Parts: sequence; structure tokens; C-alpha cells
Amino acid sequence: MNAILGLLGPLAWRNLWRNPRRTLFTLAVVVVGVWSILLFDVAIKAVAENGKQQSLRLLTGEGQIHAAGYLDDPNIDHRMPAPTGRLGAVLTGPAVLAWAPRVRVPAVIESEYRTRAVTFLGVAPGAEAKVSDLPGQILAGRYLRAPGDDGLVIGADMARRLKTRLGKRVILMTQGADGRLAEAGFTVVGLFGNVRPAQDEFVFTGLARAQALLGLGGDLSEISFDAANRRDPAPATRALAEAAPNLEVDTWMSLSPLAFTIESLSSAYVAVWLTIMFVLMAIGIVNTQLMAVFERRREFGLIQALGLRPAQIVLLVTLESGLLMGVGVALGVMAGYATVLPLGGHLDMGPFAGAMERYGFGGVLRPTLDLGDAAAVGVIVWSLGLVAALWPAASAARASPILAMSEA
Amino acid sequence: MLLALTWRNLWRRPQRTLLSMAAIALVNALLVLALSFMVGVYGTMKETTLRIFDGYAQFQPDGWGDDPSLDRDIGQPQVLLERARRLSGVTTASPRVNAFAILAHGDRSYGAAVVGVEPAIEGRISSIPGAIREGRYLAASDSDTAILGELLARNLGLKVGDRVTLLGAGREQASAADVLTVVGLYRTGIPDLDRSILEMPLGRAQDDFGMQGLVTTIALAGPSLDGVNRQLPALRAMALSAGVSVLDWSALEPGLDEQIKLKYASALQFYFTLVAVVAFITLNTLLMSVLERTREFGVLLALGMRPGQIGTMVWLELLLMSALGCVAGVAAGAAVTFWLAQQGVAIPGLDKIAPQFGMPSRLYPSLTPFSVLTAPTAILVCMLIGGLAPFARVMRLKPADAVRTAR
Amino acid sequence: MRFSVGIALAGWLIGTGVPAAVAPAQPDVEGLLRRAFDNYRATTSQNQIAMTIHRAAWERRMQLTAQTRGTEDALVRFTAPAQEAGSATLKLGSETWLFNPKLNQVIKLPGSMLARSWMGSDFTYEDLAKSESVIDDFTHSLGPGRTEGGHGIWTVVCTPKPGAAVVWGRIDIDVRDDGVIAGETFFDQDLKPARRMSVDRIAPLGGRNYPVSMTMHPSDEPASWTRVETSSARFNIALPSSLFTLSSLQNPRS
Repeated sequence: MNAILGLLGPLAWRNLWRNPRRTLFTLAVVVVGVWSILLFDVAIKAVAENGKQQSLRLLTGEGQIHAAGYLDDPNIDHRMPAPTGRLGAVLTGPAVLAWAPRVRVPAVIESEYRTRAVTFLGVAPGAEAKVSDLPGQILAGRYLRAPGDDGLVIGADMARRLKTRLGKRVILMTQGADGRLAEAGFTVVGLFGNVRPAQDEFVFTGLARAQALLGLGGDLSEISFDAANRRDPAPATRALAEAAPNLEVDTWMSLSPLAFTIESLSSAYVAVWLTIMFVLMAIGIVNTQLMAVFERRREFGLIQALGLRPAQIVLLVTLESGLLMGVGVALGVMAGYATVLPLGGHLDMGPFAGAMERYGFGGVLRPTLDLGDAAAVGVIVWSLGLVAALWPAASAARASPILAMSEA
Repeated sequence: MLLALTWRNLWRRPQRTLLSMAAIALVNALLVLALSFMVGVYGTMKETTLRIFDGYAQFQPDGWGDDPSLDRDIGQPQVLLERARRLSGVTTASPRVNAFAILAHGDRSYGAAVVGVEPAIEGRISSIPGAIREGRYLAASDSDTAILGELLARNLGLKVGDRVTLLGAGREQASAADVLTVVGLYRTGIPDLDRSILEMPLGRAQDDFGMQGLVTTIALAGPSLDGVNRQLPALRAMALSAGVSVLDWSALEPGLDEQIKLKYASALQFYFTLVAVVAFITLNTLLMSVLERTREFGVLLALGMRPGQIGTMVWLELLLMSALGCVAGVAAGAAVTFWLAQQGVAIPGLDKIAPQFGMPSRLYPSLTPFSVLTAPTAILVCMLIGGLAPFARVMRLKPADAVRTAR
Repeated sequence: MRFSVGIALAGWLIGTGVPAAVAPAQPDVEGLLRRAFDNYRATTSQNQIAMTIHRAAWERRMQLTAQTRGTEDALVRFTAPAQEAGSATLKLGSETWLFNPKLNQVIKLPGSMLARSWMGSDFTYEDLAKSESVIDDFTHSLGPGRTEGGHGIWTVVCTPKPGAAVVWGRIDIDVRDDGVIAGETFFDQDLKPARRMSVDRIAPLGGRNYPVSMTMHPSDEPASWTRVETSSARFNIALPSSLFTLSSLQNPRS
């Protein structure tokens, strides 16, 4: 067997390059196919990460922890101390990817002209950026810089309704921990975009500033967290619930059930998409290979006349395909990396960023090409190509030497 | 005659033609299915969200949305109600008084939205009457009853049968005060709604808030959102003559509209990439076949056919094959979609959450002109443009060279 | 004849008993304001007031009695029209309770319903109570004065101190030479007028000159205004502390 391979291998390789044009056609299908599958994969993942954000990472996060009774009546009376001990250990441990502490209470915001009811949030900007995309959706001004930041970030639409602007002062009134009215002036330092209802509801300042205003000490209204296992937050949720039995731990699936529906649809979509892409590529390969084999029927007839048996012709053609697929896959993967790497994991959507931010995406996608994914696609396409080549190979083997040679 | 030649050319190598057609048909069928699902699922999302309380459209006084004051009203609501109900597709018009008041029970007090409704009609617009978990909904014969959200009741320490006090400001800032008996508690599963709304009989609300004979909004619904949307022009005309505005679903739920638009945009990008890939693969094959047929073209040239005619013939082959593939694909896709539209698709986990939200527990695709025609149009346009490549290649053929082409 | 601020001010201060030798180099603008506020609200007061709310589509007139203690506590009872008669509000510091005779119940105003507007009018509670905020949170200077109706009127220009919890860019308070508030203009942070309180009539009331008719005009709604007319008033009277309680809110003693 090795002798045969030793003979046919180099022959296969030289066959490929004797008529570069023919080879290039099939190569084109493979390279473009692999490249677009990889790009698809990267794009789907980048947008899905981004888009999951839109439903989840505005504020819900993958999960949230509250004091008992907060979800019924989200006011300052239902609060919890800063996480320490067991809870702190789980939050900083391996089950949880990131977590953000928040103060979140109803309040009233007032400008010179208008007064509106809002939800007032005190956040830690560094932690917040890991579980929410809102920090990246600033349309004007800046986001908060530190938990002690005493600026206020409000929605662009909110600013319009209040007839106020960046740099102007507004007053926030809310109930403090002692039950009395707490009132303070804030300078508007940033305007955020997102869906309009979010712009009209949320106002943000630094966590420490909010705690000081409300007299909370170190207490919090909620903790938002992302589980280390993005696909299944259940283990992280269980660990947290065990560590804090008198607090309520909820996942996004119960907090935003509509998002759950869309998410499950999306996973199904992706699977179907990739399958279709593979099938299309297979058809492309079969077609071009069939044509190549048809063109070469005289050559195959000649080889048979020279003594090569039909089974060996099948092997020859299969080898050619294997080599061809290999080159194509390699080039396709390289093309994929060549397209993704220069982006540096950071694709600024430029003119689209504005529209994206308005609709709740960050204006920046984070495309990354996972080596495992690239390898998997490469192997699948290569195998697919081999299988697809069997039909043309069989067709080649059936060429009758005499008939083939008689064609002038 | 060119067409006859084209047709026969296609079938001289049936394997090739059928494979390419299969690729095109596959993409068409898939796109029809995918787009129908998108339209169907997003339609369901929209309808479910709107059915909770908003309705599919609303009559409101001009500018009421930004500044919901009882000083503005829909004058002569009866006229609008009757005219709207006579439109086909709009089967229900529910008049409402929307106010804000303090609700108190014992020593607890909370601010809440107070909505005066017609109990008999409201159930056809809103899913709240069907979301009653304890007690019952309002009845047409009730006078001083109320229903509220579970969370609101819990916060006020109320049970069914208790009395709740209502204090607020009515029209022209006159005080509005009443005591009502709670007859039912509802749960939509959406905390914001469950802790902020009280519903009471319309007549009583009108008396309390100084709105006798007046309403602040009229919610409209029908068997389908599309049906109501089709009547928007007629509704707008009615609104204009009554001096009010009509708000369509995207104005009632702008966040939902924006979310869905974005999902559409990103989905369509993927779909068009798919179309581009299939176009590329097909054109690749065609170009290769054109090169393979150089001798044949040389003969045709020698026989007197002009390069332009040969080029056109090749182009027609491409278009004809694509068209057949599209037709086959669309037919297959539409058939499968139609069948699924009757059956629905079950998503694991959905059936547990969906009933809470009044969503159907299966997903249904929806065949529309958009979902059926987008794919073939996109593909044919790609082929039309892409066919220029083989056409150009054919134009460059010189008869002598062509005939002499060796393999 | 041009009105001279310095001379008039010196004269006024001398008139109120400040030794001439200690006449301040800077006019005591803050003192001026304090005295004007004190003239307006005293430490306690009992007033009969008619409030008219005017909007583009309607106008409503209400009669009420108000008993105030300091700047934080007030008991207000409506006497007309019939629909409002008997309703009352008790404010103690930052908490407010409402009483409605039809319900015969006292209800606490929930924190979520904090609103600036008092009783749906264009006045805020701070406007009517003249809280110390204008004194504490602002720096004061004298603007140009003028003469009106035989009286000199100073304009006290109040600029918010940095970091103050104040939404205005500037407040100009007109004070008449006899210490009566003669008008207020509130400027937004771009220094455009956002609302103006005009004093329509000053007359003797309760032993002092008093702005008996005040009208608040919001600048962005020309058709809206609210007028507060005080028909009788007694100042610095002894009000029993039992007056400012929930039981008093529910059961008025005549």
C-alpha cells in the first residue's frame, strides 16, 4: 500500500498543478467557503455577545443578588451589606467571571424647568464595565471614572425632557436610609444612548457618592454578576445562593424571559446556518471537481491503459482532492486570520456606531477568531471535501480507456 | 431560438445543472423559512407585549404621551369609538381614563397609575383581565370595585375583599378621593406592571377625577396587529377630524420597535452574506464551465454567431438555472413554512415561561410577501450582476484560438 | 433724581438702630434679605389665602387657611370651593400628610410622589415658605436699584455657591425700602429667566406692609400662572404645638 501511495502521492500533487486554472477554480470555492464560514462564526459570536448585551447587559447581567423583598418593592429599605465572608469568596472565586455592586433606588430628578421620576443608580465604573455595556454607550461627555465620582450620567432623551445639558446642574431627591428626604445637586457629566425607555429611566453616579447621599454606609441594593460559564449560569447561581441564604439570587432567564426566548432561537439559527454553508461548499466542490474530471477523461483513459486499476484511480483522485482541500483550507484559515487579526479584537463600527449605540449595542464589536474554531472548521471542510470528491472520483474511474482515447 | 439553445445547453450536462440548482434552491428554501420565522416570532413578540395593556394602536389627545394630564381629553369619545369599531380589522375600541393617585391601606401608601376601564370591553384588548390570580376581574355591573397587581397589593398589605383608599388630583387640580373594594389581584410576571396599576370601573373613575363623559385614551385592537396596522390611514383620518392623534404600535412601545429593528438589521446582514456565498459558488462553477466549453464556442463563432450572442446565451443559462432553482426553493420553503405555521415549533424551556406572559408556547413562522420574495430577488440580482464575468470572458474569445484549444 | 443706594441703605440701617460709627463698609445684603423674609413669614403665622391657578383651558380659585411654624412646618386647610372644603395638608419637615373629609382618613404622601409643585400650582413649597436655602446656599450682592410708586427698590442678586444643591443659575429678589419683598426672578443656568414672581400689590396686613398679591409666571408656558392673595394674616402668634400633629390634621379645632 505504501508503494502505491508513494507512487500516486507525488503524481497527485503534480496533477494538481499541471493545469493551474482548473485547480484554482476548486481552490477558490474552498478558500472562499472556509473564509466565509470563519468570518460568519466570528461575526455571529461578536454580534451575539454584543446583542446579548442589549437585552442582558444594559443592567440585568446574567444574574442578580438582592435583599429579600427588593424585587417586590425596590426601595432603599430593602438593602444588603457589602459582600464579605462566604459570599465575597464566591464572588471573587472561579464560578463568577465578574460582579458589580450597585445602589438602585427610586428618585426624583429636577431641572430648572421640569421634574421627573427616575431610577437612581450608584455604580463602581470599573466593575460595571465588566457586566454592562452601558459604560460604552456614551453619546456625549464621559462616563463615571471612579466609585467616588460625583458627576451624574443621564440618558440623552432625559436631558431633552428636562431641558438641560452637559455641564448643567440638576437636583436629585430621594428617600435616605433614615427615612428622611435626601437631596443633592449633581453636575451632568455624560449623556448615554440606548433604547429610549432606558434613557428616560436611569441616572448614574458613583457608588460611594450615592451611599454617602443616602446614608447607607457600605450597603448595596443589588449585585449584578456574570457567571464564568457563559452558557449555563446555574452552577454559579447555586454557589451564590448557598453562600448567602438570606438573599435572593436570580438568573437572567427568570429576570428577562423574553431575552431567553430570543437566545434559544439564536443558537438554533447558528447551527442551521453553518450546516447550510458546509452543504453549499460541498456542492461547489462536487461541481467543479466533476467538471475537472470530465475535462481529464482522456488522461484517465490513458492511465488505465497504462495499467492503473479503477480502484487506484479513485485513490488518485481522492488524493488530489485531499491535497487540494488541504491547501484550500490552510489558505482559507490564513485569510480568516488575516482579516480578523488586524482589527485587534476591536472593530469600531464608524458611521454605524451611532445607530448601534442608539439601539443598545456598543459601537464597538469584539471579533476574535478562536483557534479551536478555526481548526474545527478546517477539519470539517477537509473531510467534507474528501467525501464530496468521491463522486467525481468514481466518475473518473468509470472512464473507459478506449472510448476516452478515441476522443480527438 | 437563443432561448431554445440555452435550454438545451442546460440539460446537456444534467449533473452540473442540477447541482447548481440544488444549491440555489437550498438557499432559497432556507431563507424563506428563516425570514418567515423572523417575521412570525417578532410578530408574536410584538403582539404579546402590546396585548398586555397598550393595545395595537391608541387614540390620544395631541401631546398626551409626553405630558399625561387630565386637563386634556378626547372629546366626544362615543363618536370615535363607533367609527373605529366599524373598520374591518379593528374589532375592539376600549375607552380609558388614565390618572395617577396615592393608594393607601392601613398606614401604608404608594403612588400608582389608576385606569378607569369598561370591564366588558377591556378583556378584548388587554391580557390583564385574564391574568387575575385571585378573586375576579371587574364586572360591568360593578360600581366601587378595583383590581390591582399582586406586588402592589403585597406592598400595601391588601387582600381580596379589603378596601383601598385612593387620593389624587383630578381635572383642573380638583381633588379626587374614593374608597374601593378590591375584588381581584393580577399577575403579568412583569414586576413594573404588577406593582404600579389599579383598574376601576370607567364611570366611577370619571366621577372621581372630574372627567364625566370624557376619556383620556382609547385603546384599539383586532385579531391581528397587521390588520390594525392596515387601517392606520383610516384611523389617522378619524383622529384628525376629532382633533386627536393616533399612535401606532411603534409609538406605543418604542423600545420594542428599536430592539426588533436592530435584530432585523443584523439578521439580514447574515442572510445577504449567505446569498453572496451561493452566488459566488454558482458563478465559479459557471465560469469554469464556460472555459471548458471554449471549443464549443469557437465552433459557434465559426458558424457565424457573434460573441455578444454567445455571451447572452451564457448569461441566460445562468439566469434560467437560477430562476428554476429559486422557484423550486421558494416552493419547497413555502410548503415547509406553511406546514410549520400550522404546527408550530417547540423550543425547550419556552413552554414553561411562555404562559406567564400570554405568549404561545410554540413558535410560528409567518409567510408574507417579504419573507417569500426577498431571497429570490436577492439571488437573481446577484446573478444578473455576477453574470457579467462569464459574459466578459466570452467576449474576449477569438474564433481561431478557440477552435484550436487543446485540453 | 437719581436714587442713591448707599445713602438710603445707611439711613435704613441707622433707622433700625445700628450705631452710625459701625456703619459697614459693605452693605449687609444678607441682612437685608433676612429681614425681608422675616417680614414675609415671621416665626409663626396664620393667614387666609385665595389661590388662583390659571391655565390655557381653565382657571380655578381656592380659599384656604394656612398656619406656619418656621420654614418647615405648616398646616393648610381648604375652605372653598365646596369640593375642596375640609381637605387639609400637614407638612413637618420633609414629610407630608394629606387629609380628605370624604375619606375621613389621613394618608402619608409617599416618597415616590415628591413633586416641586404645591397643590398643582406654579408655586413650590419653598417659594411660599421662603426657606433659608436662598440665604445659606447663595452669595449675595446688590444689583441696580430703582424707584417705583414712591418707594426705592433694591435688587438682591443671589448667585449659588459652588456645590450647592440648587437648580437655578441666579435668583434676583426685589426688596422694597421698607423691607417688603417686591418680586423674584429665577434664572436658569444659562441666565435666561425661567420663572418670575411678580408682587402685584403691597398693603398693610397684620401690622406690617405685606405682598398681599403675588403671581408666579413660568417663562416656558406663557398662558399659565398662579396668584396667591393673602386677605388676612397674624404674625408671631403663639401656635400650640398640638396644632402640628396628625390628630389635629384630622380633627380641626375651630
